[in-house]
Amino acid sequence: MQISNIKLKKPQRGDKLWDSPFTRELKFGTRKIMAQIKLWCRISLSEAVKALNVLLKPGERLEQMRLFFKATGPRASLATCGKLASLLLPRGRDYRLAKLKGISNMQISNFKYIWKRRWVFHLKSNRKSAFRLYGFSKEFAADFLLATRNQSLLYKQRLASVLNKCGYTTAQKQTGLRASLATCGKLASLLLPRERDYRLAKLKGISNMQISNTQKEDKYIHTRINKLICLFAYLLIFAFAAPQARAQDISFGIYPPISQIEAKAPADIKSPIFIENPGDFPIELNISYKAFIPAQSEDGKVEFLDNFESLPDPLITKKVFIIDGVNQITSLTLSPKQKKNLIMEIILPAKQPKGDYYFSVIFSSAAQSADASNISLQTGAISMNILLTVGPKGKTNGVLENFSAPLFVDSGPVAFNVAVKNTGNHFIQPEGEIIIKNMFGQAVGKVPLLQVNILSDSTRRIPDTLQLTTDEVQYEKIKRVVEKNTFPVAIWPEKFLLGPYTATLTLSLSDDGPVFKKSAGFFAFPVSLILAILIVVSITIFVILRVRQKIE
Amino acid sequence: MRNKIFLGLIIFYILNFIFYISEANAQTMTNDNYILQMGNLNSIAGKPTGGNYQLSFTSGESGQNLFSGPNYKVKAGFQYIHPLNTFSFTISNTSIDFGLISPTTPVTRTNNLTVTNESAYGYAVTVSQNHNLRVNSSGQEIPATTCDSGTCTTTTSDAWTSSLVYGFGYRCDNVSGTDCAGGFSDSTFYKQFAASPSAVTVMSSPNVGKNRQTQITYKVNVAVTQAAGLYTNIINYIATPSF
Repeated sequence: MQISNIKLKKPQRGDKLWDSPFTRELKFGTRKIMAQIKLWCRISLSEAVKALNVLLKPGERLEQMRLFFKATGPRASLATCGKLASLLLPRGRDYRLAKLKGISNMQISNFKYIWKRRWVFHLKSNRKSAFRLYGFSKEFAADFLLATRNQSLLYKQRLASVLNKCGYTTAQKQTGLRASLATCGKLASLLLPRERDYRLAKLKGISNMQISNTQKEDKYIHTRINKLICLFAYLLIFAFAAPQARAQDISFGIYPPISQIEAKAPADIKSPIFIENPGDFPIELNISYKAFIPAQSEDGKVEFLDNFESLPDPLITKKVFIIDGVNQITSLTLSPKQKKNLIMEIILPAKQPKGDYYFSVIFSSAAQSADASNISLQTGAISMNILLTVGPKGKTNGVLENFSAPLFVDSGPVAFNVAVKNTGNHFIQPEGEIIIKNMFGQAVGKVPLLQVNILSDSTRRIPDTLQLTTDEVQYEKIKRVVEKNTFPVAIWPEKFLLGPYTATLTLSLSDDGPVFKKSAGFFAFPVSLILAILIVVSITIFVILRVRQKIE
Repeated sequence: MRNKIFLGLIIFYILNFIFYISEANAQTMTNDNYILQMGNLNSIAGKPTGGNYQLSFTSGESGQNLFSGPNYKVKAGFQYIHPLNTFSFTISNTSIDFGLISPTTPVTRTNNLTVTNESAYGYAVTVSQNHNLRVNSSGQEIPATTCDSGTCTTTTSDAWTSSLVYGFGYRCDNVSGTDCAGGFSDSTFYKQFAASPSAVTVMSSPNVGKNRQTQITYKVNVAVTQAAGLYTNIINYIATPSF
């Protein structure tokens, strides 16, 4: 990009290159113009070459080109100057800065015109690749392409990758803030040859201190690049030397496993999420959402749906955001042993449809790339369930579908079936207990029920609180009954039972009711115990009698 | 007379022994109190309600909490489960390398799935595959196994022992706990992987648990007519707590 004192005219159809101001200047003599080019940075290298091609005879072109490159230097300082100019100035073009550097209004006007023309051209000709460049903004991509237009695609990709990793923040890429000296230094260090053309910087009016800073920045960037290269080389060596490293574990944990939310629109809901990577390898996690319904097992398991059509608002997940600090994220990377606190934000507008929304937030790992082998790659995902009620809530309705006990038991523990159907339009957490009385009417046992969630229009079997234990000794008492039943049951862990018992269930679907009360009877007789005693006694008597016979 | 006393003593000791054991397990009255966990991320919160409730408050970086704001309140975590441990899921060896697969020579590989759900009452791990083992460049596939009888599916298992039965399948074995899905009681039984977006449960529990572990065995066997190439696919496991 060059700044000329000659007012540029918009090219018209029929205009010839002879009319170009640059060409007219070249008529005064190639050597003189080349000297001017070298000293003043007046026109671009490509335009000069184009003009030379027009001016000179075919036989003279090669020699003139050779002389031209010799005169201007192998690094095409003019072109570099243009690149830096386009990269130095921010998106809004800080022309005040240009004025401070003694650049005239006409030069600025020309600059605007040329820059716009080139930007449009490069966007048109490289639209796809411009947008592909590592998430750079349109402006940045255009500038980048402009600066590397003579380079191969591979070079561009490598350079973009390096830029992406070496200090360019997302904000810089997206907003096109390219005015900093450090940025200039980075680009200069990457675009220019090894020797660093700081004379060029001086020509551009950059002070010695700024150049010094740039040199420091250069050194820092080079150190970082060297580190990256070393790391890459190390990884390569590691990959080839130890192929077993592919077999890595993934491990992650999340809390809470469920969030139960009651809201009235409009609302800006914030709920914390804690996620950790207890493993020894970093993991990259993508965040997604899936609607679910209760599984038919009636035990609180979820069954994912392929879409959100069954929800009152199928676009609900567009209103759910996962926030890391102040940034909204759709993916995250967890280092080994790293723990992270996130916020789930749900923004409900005033007209949010009422009803219940059941969906899961899923953190899923990405598959590694396959090596040259027959491989089945594994990905893992962990989810947390969201029960969102957008109210006001309607009346709580439900049915006690089943409360039963076995008619006869030999001994405890005793399993009770408790199944409740929620016929309301929002999820509920019934609270209840089973009181067991013996034949004398004395309360001999109490089984508190878990306050499980029962989703709208679904049935759930309710277990008791004792089954929450992770204590192996405690669990051993009820293990047999738990594993015998394929669905959750409430368990009275009493072992020795004798006679008729009455179990009475009292269950309240909400603080405001309705309340269900139902009884079930069962008879217990320790048949196996009595049999065991009889057998032992019989054997004992038999042995004693035999001994007596022998003695007598 | 002496013999009668001796006999009586023996019967007495036997009965005493039997009833002594019974007494040790007799009539355990359940505690009347609930243990509820409440709190707030940044400060102490929660309000005790009712004479029969014992509330334990929590403050810290994460917790089983109540949060509220204008027009909303959030209960994070199960209010009736005390431990605040994370719901965690681990897959050992995320790259199952079958190496060189020779026709009619089955290859098996294993990895382990581990779930800790002390903070969630029940969980399920579902599994699916993106597609059969496939050579991406040519589209050639190793089909899902149908087992020896030709009847096994994504939900029905069956014996797969013949080296002349080809395909790709898996089985589940309990390592810690009994969380494997049904159908794998016999060590020769295998199932097919379900194709995404469908998924089937491979491991689940209706209770809380710690370090529940299963071993998944992947088996592949190919015919002599199977086209040469590098066959790959992706197996997806999703661990979901119950609600």
